Amino acid sequence: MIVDSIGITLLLSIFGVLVLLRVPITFCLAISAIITGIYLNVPLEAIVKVMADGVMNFSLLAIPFFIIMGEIMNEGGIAQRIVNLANLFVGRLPGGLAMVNVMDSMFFGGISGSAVADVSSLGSIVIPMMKKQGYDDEFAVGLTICSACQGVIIPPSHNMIIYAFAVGTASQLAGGQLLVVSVGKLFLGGYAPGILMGITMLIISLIIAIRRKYPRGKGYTLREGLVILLDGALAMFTALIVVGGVIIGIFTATEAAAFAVIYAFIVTFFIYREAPLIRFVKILYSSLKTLAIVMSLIAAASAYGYLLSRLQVPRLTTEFLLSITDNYYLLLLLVNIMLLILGCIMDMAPLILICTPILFPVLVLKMGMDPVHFGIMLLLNLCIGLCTPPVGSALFVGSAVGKISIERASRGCIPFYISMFITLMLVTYIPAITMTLPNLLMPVK
Amino acid sequence: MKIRGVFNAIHFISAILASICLAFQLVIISTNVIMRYFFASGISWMEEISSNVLMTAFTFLSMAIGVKLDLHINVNLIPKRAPQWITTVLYKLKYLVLAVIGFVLFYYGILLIMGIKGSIASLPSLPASLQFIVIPLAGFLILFDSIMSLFGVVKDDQYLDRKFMTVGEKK
Repeated sequence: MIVDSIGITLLLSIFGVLVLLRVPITFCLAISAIITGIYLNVPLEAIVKVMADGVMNFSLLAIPFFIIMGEIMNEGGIAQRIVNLANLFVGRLPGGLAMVNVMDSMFFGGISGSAVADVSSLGSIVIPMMKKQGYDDEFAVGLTICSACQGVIIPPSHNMIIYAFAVGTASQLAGGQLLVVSVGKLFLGGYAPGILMGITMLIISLIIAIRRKYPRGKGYTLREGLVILLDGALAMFTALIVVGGVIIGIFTATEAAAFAVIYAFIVTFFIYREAPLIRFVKILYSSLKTLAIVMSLIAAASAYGYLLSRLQVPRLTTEFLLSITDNYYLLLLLVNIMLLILGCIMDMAPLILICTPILFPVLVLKMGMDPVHFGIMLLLNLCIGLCTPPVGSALFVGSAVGKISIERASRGCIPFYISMFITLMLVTYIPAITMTLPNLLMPVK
Repeated sequence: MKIRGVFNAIHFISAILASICLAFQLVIISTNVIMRYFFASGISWMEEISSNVLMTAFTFLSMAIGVKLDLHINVNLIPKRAPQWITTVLYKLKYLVLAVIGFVLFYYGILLIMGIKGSIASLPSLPASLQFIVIPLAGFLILFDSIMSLFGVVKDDQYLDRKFMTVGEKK
C-alpha cells in the first residue's frame, strides 16, 4: 500500500506549526485539512460537506443540552445549595470546608459535567469561605481546581458524548465496521474512577487539614438538615434523570439530556426562583458561546479525520507504536505519558477528537482493551491537563476566582496532582475499577 | 461606521436564530419522548430536522459568533514578555487563516448548495440544500470579521455580550 508521505507531512506539520503560532485549534484543523485537500485534489466542497456531516449526528445533540443544563444550574443558585448539602455530610470533619470543597465538586460534577463551570460557580462560594476561616490561599484554590476535575469523569459529562462520537469515527477510519460505544456504559464506567479520585483528595486534604490545624465546620439542627437535604436533592435529581434514564433504557442520551434541561428549567425558575424567567435568554446565549467552541471543533475535526483516514495515519500510528513495544502494559504507560504531556499543552475536547482516532485502533482494536475502559483512561489523563500549566482552563479560572497568580495556584495543586496520578495509574492498570459497574448493570446480552 | 452597524445587526440576528434553533430542538425532542411514551406515537421528522438542519445551523452560526468574540481556544506557549512585533505578526497570521477559512466556507458553501439544488431531503419533503444554508452566511461573517481584524479596524466585538449577557440582570 503506497504511503503519501508529503500529504501526511502537510496535514500534521501545518496543524502542529499553526497550533504553536497561537492560531485557534479549530481553525488549525480546518486549514490543514483544506491545504492537504488541495494537494490531494479533494474538491473543497467535499471538505465543507464533511465538516457539516460531522455535526449531523443525533447523539451529538446531547452536548448542547448538557451545556444548557450546566448554564441553568449556574444561574439559578444551585451552587450554594450543593455547598450546603456537602457541608451537611462532611462539614464536621477536621478541615470541614476542605472536605466540603471535594464533596460539592463530586455532587456538582454529577450535574454539570464541566470542570470550568464547577470552579467558577462553586469556587466563588467556597474559596472566600475557606479564606475567611484561615485556610491558605494556595491550598483553597488548588483544592478547588483539582477537585473540579471530577466533573469530567463523574457522569453526565458532555466529554463522554464527544468520546462516544469519536469512537464511531475512529472505528470507521480504521477501516473496520462502525463500532458504537454505549453512552450508558461510559456513564457507569465514570462513577468509580471519579469517586476514587474524590476519596484520594479527601484523604490528602484531611492529612493537610490535621497538620495545619484547619477548623471544623458548624453543625446543623435536624430541621435545618432536612431543609438542606430536600433543597439539594431537588438539584441532584437532574443527574438521576440523565444517568438513570439512559441506563434503564427509557431515554437515549440525547432525550435524557433534553428532559434534564426541562427539569432543571422548572426547578430553577419555578421552584428556587432565584433568577427571572427572562434570564433564560442569557442562558441560551452563554450556552451558544460554549457551543461555538465545542461544535466548531467537532466540525473541523471531522474534516481532519477524513484526511487522516485517506492518508492511512491511524494504521501507520498503530504500526509505529507496536514497533516500539507490543507489551500491553508498557504501551499503556507510553500512551498515558503522551496524553499527560499533550493534556498540559492542549484543551480536552480537541484532544479527545484528535487522539481517539489515532490511539483507539492500537489499544482497542489491536490490543483488545475495552472501549469504555480506554475512554475513561483517556478522559482521566486529559482532565489532569485542565489543572496543569501552561494552558489548564480550570487553573486559569480558579486563579481568577481565587484572586491569586497562576504560579501560586499551581503550587496549591501539587499535593492533588499526586492523588490524580495515583487514581490514573489504578484506573489504567486495574480495569475492574472502571468496568465492574457497567458489566454489572449493563451486561452484554 | 454604517457597515459595522449592519454587521453587528447580522450577528445579532444570527445569535437569535441560533438560540431559537437550540430552543426548538429542546422542545421537539422532549415533545417526541412524551408522545412516544404516553401516546405511542412520535414526530416523524424530529430526528432529521434536529440533527441535519438545526444542528448545522447553530454549529456554523455559533462558529461565526465565536470568531467575533474571539472564543475559539488556542495554545499559548509564547512568553508574555515576547517583543510586541512577534505578538502582532501572530495576531495577523491568525486572522489571515480565519479569512481563508471564511472564504472557503462562503464560496464552497455556495457551490455545495448549488450542486444539490433541486434535491429533496427524505423526510420531510424539504430542499436538501436547507441543511447547508447557513454555511455561506457563517463563512461571510467570519471573512468580514477576520478582514476587519487583519487591518485593525475597530468593530465593536463586545456588541453581542452587551446585548445578551445583561438580560434580566438584577440592578
